[in-house]
Amino acid sequence: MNIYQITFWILSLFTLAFAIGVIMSRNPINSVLFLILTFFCISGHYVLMNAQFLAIVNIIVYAGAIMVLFLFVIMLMNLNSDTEPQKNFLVQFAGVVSGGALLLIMVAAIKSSLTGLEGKNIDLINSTDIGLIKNLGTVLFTTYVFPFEIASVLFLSAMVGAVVLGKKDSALKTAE
Amino acid sequence: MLILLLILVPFIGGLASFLFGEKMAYAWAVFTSLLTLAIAGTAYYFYSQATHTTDLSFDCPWIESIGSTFSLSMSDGLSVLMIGLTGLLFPCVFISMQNKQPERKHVFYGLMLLAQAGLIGVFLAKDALLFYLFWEVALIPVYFLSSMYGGPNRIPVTFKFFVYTFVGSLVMLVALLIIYNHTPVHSFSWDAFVSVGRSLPEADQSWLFWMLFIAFAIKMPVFPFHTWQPDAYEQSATPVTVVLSAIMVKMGLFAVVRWLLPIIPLGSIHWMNVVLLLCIIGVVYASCMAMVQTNIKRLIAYSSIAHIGLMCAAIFSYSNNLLGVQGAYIQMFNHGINIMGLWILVSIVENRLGTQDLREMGGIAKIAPRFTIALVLISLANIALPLTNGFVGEFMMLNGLFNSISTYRMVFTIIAGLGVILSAVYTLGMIQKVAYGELNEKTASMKDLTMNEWIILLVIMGIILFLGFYPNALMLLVDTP
Amino acid sequence: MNAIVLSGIWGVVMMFAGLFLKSSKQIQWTALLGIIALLVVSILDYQAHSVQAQTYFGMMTIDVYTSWFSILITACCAMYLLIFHKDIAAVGKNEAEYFALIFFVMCGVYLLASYSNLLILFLGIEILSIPQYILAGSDKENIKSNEASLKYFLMGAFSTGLLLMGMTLIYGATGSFDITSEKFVGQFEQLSSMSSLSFVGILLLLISFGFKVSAAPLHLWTPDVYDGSPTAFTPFMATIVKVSVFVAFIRLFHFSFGNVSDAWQIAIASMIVLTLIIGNVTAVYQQSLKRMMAYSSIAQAGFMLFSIFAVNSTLAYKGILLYSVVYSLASIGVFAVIIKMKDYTYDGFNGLAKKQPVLAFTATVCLLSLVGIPLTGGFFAKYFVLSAVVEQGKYIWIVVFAVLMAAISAYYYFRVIRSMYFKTGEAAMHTEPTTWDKTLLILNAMIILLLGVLPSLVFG
Repeated sequence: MNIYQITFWILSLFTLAFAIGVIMSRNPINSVLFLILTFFCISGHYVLMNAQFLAIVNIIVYAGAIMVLFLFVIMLMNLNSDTEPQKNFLVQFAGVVSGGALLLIMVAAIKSSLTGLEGKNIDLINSTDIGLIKNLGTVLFTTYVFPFEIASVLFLSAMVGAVVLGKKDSALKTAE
Repeated sequence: MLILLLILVPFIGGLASFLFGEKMAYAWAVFTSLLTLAIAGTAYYFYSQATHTTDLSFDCPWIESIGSTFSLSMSDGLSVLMIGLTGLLFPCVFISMQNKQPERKHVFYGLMLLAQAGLIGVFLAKDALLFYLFWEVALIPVYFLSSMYGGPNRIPVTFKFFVYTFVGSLVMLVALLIIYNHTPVHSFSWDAFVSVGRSLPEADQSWLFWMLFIAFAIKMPVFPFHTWQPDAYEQSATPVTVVLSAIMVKMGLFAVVRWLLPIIPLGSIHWMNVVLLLCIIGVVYASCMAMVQTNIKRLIAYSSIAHIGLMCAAIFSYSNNLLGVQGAYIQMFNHGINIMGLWILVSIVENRLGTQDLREMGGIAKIAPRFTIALVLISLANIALPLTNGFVGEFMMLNGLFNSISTYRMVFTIIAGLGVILSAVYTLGMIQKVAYGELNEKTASMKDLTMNEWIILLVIMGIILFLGFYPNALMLLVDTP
Repeated sequence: MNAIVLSGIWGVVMMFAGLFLKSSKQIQWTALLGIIALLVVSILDYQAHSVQAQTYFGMMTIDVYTSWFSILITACCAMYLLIFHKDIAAVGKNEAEYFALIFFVMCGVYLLASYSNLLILFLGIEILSIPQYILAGSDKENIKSNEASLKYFLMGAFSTGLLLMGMTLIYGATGSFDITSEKFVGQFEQLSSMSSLSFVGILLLLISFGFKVSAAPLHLWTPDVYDGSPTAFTPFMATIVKVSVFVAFIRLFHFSFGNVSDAWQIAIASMIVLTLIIGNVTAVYQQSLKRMMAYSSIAQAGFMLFSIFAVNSTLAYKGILLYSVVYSLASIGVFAVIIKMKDYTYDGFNGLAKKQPVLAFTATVCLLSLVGIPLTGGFFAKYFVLSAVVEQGKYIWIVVFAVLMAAISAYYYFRVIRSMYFKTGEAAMHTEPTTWDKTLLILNAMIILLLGVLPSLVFG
């Protein structure tokens, strides 16, 4: 077991633990904080895979910007564990069963696709350096230029939507 | 092209009726229906003389990608008979309605004419998809007619009728699709269906048979699919009931002859005894029900079930001498004429007395002789007395049943004969309750037939007697199988 | 390709129109101009691609089928905008933005019709969905509209998550996002050589698509969202958006996963059965017409699923084209009448035939088409998808089951006809229809009737 593998296992362990923390904690603020920690761990994985740019962006955008925003929103809404709606037992049970079934299938699928690979060390560090910022830029503006451009329509529509929903209707303002 | 006109004239006439508005509606409807009758008459003439045969069929590609053609043809005696009946019935009904017009005439007559177009289409279609299309299209105007005009309970009753037939026809569509899928070059044409249907293994045929038969049985209706019928007949306005009982139920019989027996022969023979049993039960059951009815419309409705049951049994008799089927053909026409006459009389009684209850009637013979003559003669035809049109057909059907290849033919024939006797009981009972006995305050003011009604009934009685004396006129049509 | 560009650009044009054009009329005209231009451009696209398929950037493959579908769906959208443009503008203050969002959705529609890369599929579905979340919540004063938006967003985000996970697994199995690439095609050549990751991937994609087309058991969001959204937007979501997801669905599952249909056909079959039962039976119990139409759209989706189910049959492709057009037009026609009414319950429609014969007539034609009565386009739509399954020869019982469900659907559709024609009542109107409205509705009904006689017109 080399250093990469040890790091991988530790990171994975922490990722899972924090992810469970997100859904288990009663207090939404704790949930968000756990989520930020999860993102950090995932970024760690990205670094292991030689994708430094992705790791940084993940931390800056998700953990930094979005989650902090979330935190503010939750604090403003003053949510706490008391206001959390109680789900009835049957729904919870059905959720556990179906989620568990999906998990089982996923694990089984991954397990069976690994058959034949036992004994071989899975190389955590791919020799590829696609995750480096320069290569990423090249690929983005050549092979994937079309989705890149099309994504602008997506963001534009999301922006328009945010404005539509967020803007106060002027007529209402004058009426008040 | 002539044959296309048979559908187009009532169809366009019906659409035009909506646009023309209320004033013109009646005259327009009578004109259109008479025009249709004239075309039907010409077509009959061409058919009987075997000239202009190209005018009697029409073919053009319709949806080529799935092998469906717009193919109409008047190729055998049965379709000629049914077209003749349809052509004759609508002008008669319209003219008899002159005294009592429905509300919003243009809608009523427009829908009636559309229904006529659909019905004629069913009898002419030589393409399974086209047949299905007309089968449904005939239903929609009738649904609207029955729901808009009629008794207080008409809306749910008509809806029941609609759902019954709709379920049946959808299942039929699936069956048609399955047969279609077996055709080597995918085609909906009748010929292709016949050749491919015959070659299907018996196991397939036996379930395909039920998918098709249930649709037709609901329409006829055959026991136990008949429960929609008495209610629907009772609640619909009488002119609509005429269409329902004189023609729409014949669609079911016609479909059996055209689209079931030749296409699914093994299946039909396989289930013959079951069908015969259902038919015979229907005859007896409906006759018994008819005897205890106090509502005149329900009585005639049950009598209709009994008659249809016998016709269906005759069609399924598979007699060696073909008499059964031929008798059923003739009877399909004659029953249409008779039941139309009965319904017209019922509508006269209903309009003048304001009741359908037999117990409130009586003594009409004293003050309305013309009415009584018509009632007695048409009722006797309904019982199939000799020298009326009903006799020949009924005789041939019983004969056919007797010569059936079924093992239980004796039992079936005897019970069916019982049905004939029962029909005399309830029909004569009806005459007695309506026409004889004491006058009461309701019937005392009954007026006799007006001129237009008298003319129509004279025409009907003329047909009854003519065909009673000279059944050969029909025999010639059905003789060539 | 030009249609994709133009729809994006016209979305931006609409945003600026909101800035510079003061009158609401002008904004509406700009939007109508845009959709007409879009229609023209998609026809030009069709002519350009009618000879041979063309690939763009290795991401999109536009062939005759896709470009023809683009024309049809644009025409449906044009019909929708022509009928509803005033109602859209009346929803709230930001009318220009609503139109802009609709054009962005159209961009997503074109992407979904022609993608050949899973990335574009993902982007298309997102471009389709995000504006819808906004449109659902655009009636900000209405708590039901807010609920619809939030519900749609949360559920939609969840299904997008599943979509991405499915794509990831398929990428893991094939090593490519390009559905035309050798690696991708090779993976799905036959069932035995398929990696187990692909199984799960296909399953997840199936769930995600099922969610977007509101197939049971993933339909739970549909009634609330369609009912809660402003009535002007519901027909858009229920028709144009839904059928374009179907086209994306059929594209992936027939062209790419067609050879391994044994892996997913049974799942689709159970979806169909559930969808038909739940959609039809629940629709029977509704009192509000708008909510009934929501369940009806679930039920109709059940029929459209048949085209997915019948793998690699030309009848299925024809069927989904015809079904898309006919179902869209019919639903638009019904909603056009609903939005004119004050009271959305069945009783609110009592006596409409006397008061507004044109509205009642066009609604009747549309409802008959939804039932699938011959002489309306709905009959042939159902005919084609069902006969595709019969042709396949497997699972005939499901066809019989489907037609029985169609008979149930007759109950609730005919209930509207009953209210309009056979019952007496006041039928209070919210807005009086203008002559222009009536003309359009009659045109709409005429198209449905025409397709009932000559369905081959939509096959191109």
